[in-house]
Amino acid sequence: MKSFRRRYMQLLTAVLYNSHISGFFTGKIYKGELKGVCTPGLNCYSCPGAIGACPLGSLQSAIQKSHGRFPLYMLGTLLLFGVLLGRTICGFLCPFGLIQELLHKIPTPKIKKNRITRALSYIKYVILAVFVVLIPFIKLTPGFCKYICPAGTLEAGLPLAILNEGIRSKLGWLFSWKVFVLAVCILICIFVYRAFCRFICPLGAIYSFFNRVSLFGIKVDKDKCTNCKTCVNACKMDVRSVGDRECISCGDCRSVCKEKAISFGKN
Amino acid sequence: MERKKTGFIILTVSVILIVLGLMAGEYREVWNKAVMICMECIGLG
Repeated sequence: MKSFRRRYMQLLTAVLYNSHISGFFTGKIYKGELKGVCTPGLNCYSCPGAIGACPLGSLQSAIQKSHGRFPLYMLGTLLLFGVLLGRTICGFLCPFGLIQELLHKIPTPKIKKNRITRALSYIKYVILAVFVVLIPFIKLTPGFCKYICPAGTLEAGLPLAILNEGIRSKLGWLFSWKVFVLAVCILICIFVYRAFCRFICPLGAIYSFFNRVSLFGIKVDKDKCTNCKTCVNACKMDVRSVGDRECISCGDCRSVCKEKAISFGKN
Repeated sequence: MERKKTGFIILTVSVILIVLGLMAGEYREVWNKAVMICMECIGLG
């Protein structure tokens, strides 16, 4: 898929997820019925514009309140998103992914992928296990939302702090910590392509399990492929092959494949 | 073919889980959380 179409999709998604425009003026979040439906990409539900629920926040909340039983609705939702699109969601339907890509366009020297970044890509699975599953289950608090999520700080914490005097008066060390995490994330993303997606994002970690079985996404015609690895070398993510767990189906590999073996569509 | 089969099985399971979750009232639980400002998310703990 051509890059401008993907960018258009990302922009449209970001606007759609946050189309409760009046919230940005009043500082009040959307409370309509739609708020129980999760967006596929990472988008904080406390963003004044958010019309849907954050899948990661909702999962942590569901685990907190589950008392040992399976959170069926949330598991079903994540399975559905994963099996339909896998990490194509990261590439096309995530506002925070878009923000990272735009940050990376700032002209500076860039740190290219290497063995270290490939190793770092496993950290997101540890974050998933500890902050998204274990901490909510044991400490009854949404660990990732509370201690890490830069999307929540950027989309919800900062706007609400600006718009809402009551919230502003209560800010403390945790807000300072989260702003620090956001600042570090923004800084790193300028130099490292999609650093949050690659190393931290637990939602990307979840969807990565489905990349090989997702019904829509990037695919390689094995009859045409000569294994030249031009696609892997051109890819800015830490892939070992097109469509593996690190692939976000951005399609950059399509334009460099001389055999025209890569396409986007139904798997 | 195996992958496609796995995909469709997961798709079926996901729909069943969503339906069961809806019947158990879990949509309302997600909604209840989403319509309140998440203090943890915005850094108020």
